[in-house]
Amino acid sequence: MSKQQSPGRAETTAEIEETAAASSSSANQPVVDAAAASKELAKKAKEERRRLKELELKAKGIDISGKAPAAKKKTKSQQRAIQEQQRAEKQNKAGGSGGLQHRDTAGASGVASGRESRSEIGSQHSATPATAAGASHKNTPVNMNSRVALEDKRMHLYLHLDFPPHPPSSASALSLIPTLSTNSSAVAERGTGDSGALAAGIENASHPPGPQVVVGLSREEYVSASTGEPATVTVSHGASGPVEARLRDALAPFNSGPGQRKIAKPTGGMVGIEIHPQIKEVGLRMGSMDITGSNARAESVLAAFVKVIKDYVSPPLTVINRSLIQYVSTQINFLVHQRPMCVGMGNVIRWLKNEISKLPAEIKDEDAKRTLITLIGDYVQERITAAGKFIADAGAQKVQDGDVILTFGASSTVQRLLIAAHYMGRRFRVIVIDPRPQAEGLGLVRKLVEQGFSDLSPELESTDGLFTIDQHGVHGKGRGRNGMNGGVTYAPITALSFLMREASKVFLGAEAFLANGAMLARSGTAMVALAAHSYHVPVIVACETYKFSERIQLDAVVNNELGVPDMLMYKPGISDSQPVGPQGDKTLAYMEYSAYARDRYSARPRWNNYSLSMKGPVSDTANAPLGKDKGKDKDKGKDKGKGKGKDKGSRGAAAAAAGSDSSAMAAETKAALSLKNNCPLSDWRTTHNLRLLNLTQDVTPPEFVTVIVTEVGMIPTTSVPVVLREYRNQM
Amino acid sequence: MTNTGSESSQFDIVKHYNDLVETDSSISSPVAAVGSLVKMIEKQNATTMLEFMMIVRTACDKLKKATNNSISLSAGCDVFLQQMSRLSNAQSVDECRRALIRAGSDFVQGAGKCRDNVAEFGSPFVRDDQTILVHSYSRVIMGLLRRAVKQNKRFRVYITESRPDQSGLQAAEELNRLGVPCEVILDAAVGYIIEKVDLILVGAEGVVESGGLINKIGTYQLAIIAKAAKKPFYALAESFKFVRLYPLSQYDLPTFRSDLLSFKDKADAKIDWQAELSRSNPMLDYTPPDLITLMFTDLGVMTPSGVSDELIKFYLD
Repeated sequence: MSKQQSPGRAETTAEIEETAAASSSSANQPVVDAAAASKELAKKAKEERRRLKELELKAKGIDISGKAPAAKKKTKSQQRAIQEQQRAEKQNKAGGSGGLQHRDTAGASGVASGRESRSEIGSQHSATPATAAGASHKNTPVNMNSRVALEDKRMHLYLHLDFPPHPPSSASALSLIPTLSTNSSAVAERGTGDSGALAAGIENASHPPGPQVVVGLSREEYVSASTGEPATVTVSHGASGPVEARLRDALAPFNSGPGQRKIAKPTGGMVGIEIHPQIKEVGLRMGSMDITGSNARAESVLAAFVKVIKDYVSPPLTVINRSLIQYVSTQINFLVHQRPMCVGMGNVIRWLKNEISKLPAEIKDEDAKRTLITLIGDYVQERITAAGKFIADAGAQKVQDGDVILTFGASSTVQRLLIAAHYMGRRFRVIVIDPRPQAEGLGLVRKLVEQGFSDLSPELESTDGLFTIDQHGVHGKGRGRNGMNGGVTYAPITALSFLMREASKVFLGAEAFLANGAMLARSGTAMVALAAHSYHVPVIVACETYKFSERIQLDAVVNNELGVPDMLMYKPGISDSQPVGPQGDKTLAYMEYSAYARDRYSARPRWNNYSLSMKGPVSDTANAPLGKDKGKDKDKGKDKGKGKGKDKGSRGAAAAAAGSDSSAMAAETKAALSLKNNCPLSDWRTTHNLRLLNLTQDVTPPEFVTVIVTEVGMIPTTSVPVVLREYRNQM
Repeated sequence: MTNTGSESSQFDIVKHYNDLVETDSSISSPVAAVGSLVKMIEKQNATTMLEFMMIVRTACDKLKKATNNSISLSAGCDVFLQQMSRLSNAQSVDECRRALIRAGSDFVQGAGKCRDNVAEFGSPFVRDDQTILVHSYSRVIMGLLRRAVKQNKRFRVYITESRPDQSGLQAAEELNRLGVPCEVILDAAVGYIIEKVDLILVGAEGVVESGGLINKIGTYQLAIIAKAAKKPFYALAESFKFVRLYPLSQYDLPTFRSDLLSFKDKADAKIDWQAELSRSNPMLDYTPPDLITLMFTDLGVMTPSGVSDELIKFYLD
C-alpha cells in the first residue's frame, strides 16, 4: 500500500499518534470484542444524543446548569483542537514554503480535534498525499474508531461512531436557500480530493469493515462551534485553512477537488451493520470526486452492490429480502453521506431496493443472490452500457460534415457520441466550452485530441455538407469562419456568445430530466442552452432514460448540490511551484489562470486593493490602504486565521506602489505571491458578509432543448413523462 | 432460398406501388406501400423467419429508393416492419405471414376511414363566416372542407398557388365545384393576406417525432407568418403518416440533397433560370412543433407533443 511513502513522513506519524491518543480521551479504551464494542456504541450514541440536545437548548438560551459539565467538557476539547490547529499553522508558516512535513502536521491537528457532538463531528480532516501515504493498516479487523487510532498510529482517518442522532430538522432546510443555510450539523464535508486521501480511503476500505463510518470533518463546523457563532453556516467547504487551500491547489483539474456532502437523514441505518469495503471504496472515491458523472457513479455503485450481495450472509432467523434491504440501506446511507446522490444513482438504488423487496419470501439465500446479481447485470447492460452505445450511435447520425459542434463541460455520453461520429468519418469541428471551477472540459479536449480530432486538415472538402465552399467563396453557418472542417477549440464560458455564432449544433450531457421536461445538468448548462436557443442553434442532449426523474423542480435553488466554495478562488502562481495533477501536469487552464491572475493582482494595485479589502469602505486614495489595512489587521489578525493579516498587509503594500519603501514593498509583493496568500479571496471565510457560492447544478427549461437522444429514440422534452410512464408500466 | 428469392423478385413491388397510386388518386403513399408489401408477401414463400424478414426489409428499401417522395412512404413501411417485429415470435413463418397479411389488409381498408375521422375531429374548428387559408393541395384538407360544407357551414378559402407544381389550382377547382368561395393567392402574398385569415390549414407528408411536420415547400414560412400574426395554424394528418424521424433543421431531412440550392458553378453556361428553379429547389420543408397550434389526426385532436407520445407508445412496446 505504501508506495507513496516517503521518509519525510516518519516523524509526523509520531505526532499523529500523540494527538490521536489525546483526542480519543473520550473513547480510548481498546475494545476487545465486538459485543462489547456494539454495547459501547449504543451507549455513546445515547450520550451523544443527550449532549446534542443540551447544546441545542443552550443555544436557545435555556439554562441547563445541571448539565453544564458536559458542555464544558466539549468546549475544552474544542479549544484543544483549535490550539492544535493554530500550532500547525504556525509551524507551517515558519516553514515558509511549507513542505510536506507541515501538511502532515495539519493533518495531525485534524485528528486531534476529535469528535464531540454531531455539530462538530469532526475536525478538519486534511487528507494529504503525505498522510495518506503514511496511513498503513494492519490486516486485522477493526471494531472501534479509537482502536483504529490507537492500533494504527499512522492512520490519518479517524472514524466516527454513528450517524447524527437527530437529522437536521426539515424546518431548517426550508429556508430560502435550503442547502446553503442548513445548520451546521446538516452540512459536513470532507476535505479530501487529492489522490492521497483517496489512496488512504481505499486503503482503509480494503480492510474488513468496522461498524463505523468514516466521516469527513468540517472546518466550518469547527469554526462556528468554537467562536460561538450561530450555527447557520452558510457553506461548507473542503480546504479549511491556508494549508489545506494550498493542498487543494495541488489537485489536478481533472480530479476536481474535494467532495462535499450534505448529511442526509440516515434512515434505516443500523448501528452495528458493517459497511462493506467495496462500498467504502466507492463512497470515498465519490466523495473525493474521483468518481464523478452520473453514469460512472451509477455503474460503480451497482458494481459494488454485486459484491455486497455476493458477500452477504443473512443473519439466522431472518428472510433475505427483509434483512438484505436493511443491510443495503445502511450501505446506501454511507454513500449518501459521502456525497449526495445524483438522480441517476438515486433511480438505480430505488430500482435495486424494489427488486430486493420483490423477491419471494421463501426464497433461498443463494437463489436470491443469484437472481439479484443477474438482474443488476441486465440493468447495467440494458439501461446504461447498451443505452450509452445506442445513444452514441444515434446521436452521431445527427453530426453532419462541416458541422461545428459546441459542447459544454465534459459528459461521458457526449464524448462517446463525438468519437462515434468521428469514427463514422464525419468531418466536424468541436468547440468545448468549459465552466469554472472544475474545468472538466480539459479532459474531453484531451480525449478528442488523442482521438485525432485536431489532425484534420483545415480545408477538407465536405462530402455531403450543407454548404460547400465554391468559387464564390460563400459558406454557410456550420463551417467555421476560417473554413475549418476539423479541429477542437477550447474556450471559457465567457466566450460563449461569440462562439455560439459559429456553432451549428450544441450537444450537451444531462444529469437528469425531470417530469416536466426540464433538464438538470451541471451549472452553466442553462446558460448555454439559452444562448443556443437565441441563436437558433439546435440543442441535442444525450441522456439515458434511467436518469429520467418523476420529480419536478422549478428552479435550481429548491434543490442543488453545493460545491466547495474554495474552488472559486484563483490560485495564481501555483503551477509554477507545484505539480498540478497527480501526473504533474501543468494544465492549460491552470497556467492561464495563474498567469492572468498574477498580472492582474500585481500590476494593478489599486484594483487589487479594492478586491482584497472588501469588508470595509475602501479608501479613496491609492496610498491610504496600507496603514489602514495594517491597523485593521492588528486588531483582528490574531483570531482571524493566520493568513489574513499578512495577506492584507502585503496587498496594502502592493497598493502603495507609489510609496517610497521599495525594498519592503518587493518583499511584501513576494510574500503576496507566495502560495498561501496570493488569492484575493483567501480570507473570505472570516470576512463579514462575504460569501462564495459554488452551485453545481442548474435547471434548463424544456423549451431550450430541441431533442433528447435516448436509448428509446430521439424524443422531445415533452415526451419525458411518456417514457417515465412506459417504464413504470413495465415494472 | 434462391428459389424464393427469384420468385419474389418476379413480383415487382415498385411497379405495383406505382400502379396503385395511379389507379386510385385518393390513395396516399403509405397506404399504397403497405398494400404493395401485403401483395408481395402473399406471393413469396420464404421458409424461415429470418429469410422472410429479410425479404420484407429488402422490399421496403427498394420502395424507398425507387420513389422520390420517400418520407410518407417510409412511414407506411415502418408501420409494416414494426408490425412484423411484433409478430416475429410467432410459431411459424406461415402463421406470421397470415397475421401480417391480415393486419396489412386491415390497415389498407382502414386508411379511408382515417381520413373521415380526421374530418370528423377537425370540422368543428371551421365555423360560419370564417376565412381559411389553405396551403397547396391535400386530400385530407379537402375531406375536412367537404365535411364542413355538408354541415352547411359558410366560409371562404384562400389557397396558395404552391409553386412549382401549382397544386393550389387543383384545390381551387375542387372547392369551386363544392360551391365554396375561393381565391388562389401567390405564395409570396401570404403576408399580405394573413390579417384577413381566421385559421390556417395544412396537410402533411409526414409528422415527425418532434411533433413537427414535413410538408410541401412553403409550409414553414407560412407557419412563421401565422405565428407572427398570431393566427391558429392547424395541421391535418392521418396517424399512418407519423414517421420515426427527428429533423433538427431543414437540412436534416432524408430528402436533403447537397446539390439543392448549392451555388453551383454557372459562370460560363447560358442558364435557363426557369428550369433551374424547379430543378434545384427543394420540394419539402420541415415545420418545427412550436409553430403548430394543433394537429387534427384520426386519433383525435392533439398538440404536437401528443404526436411524439403516440409514436413512443407505438414503438416502445
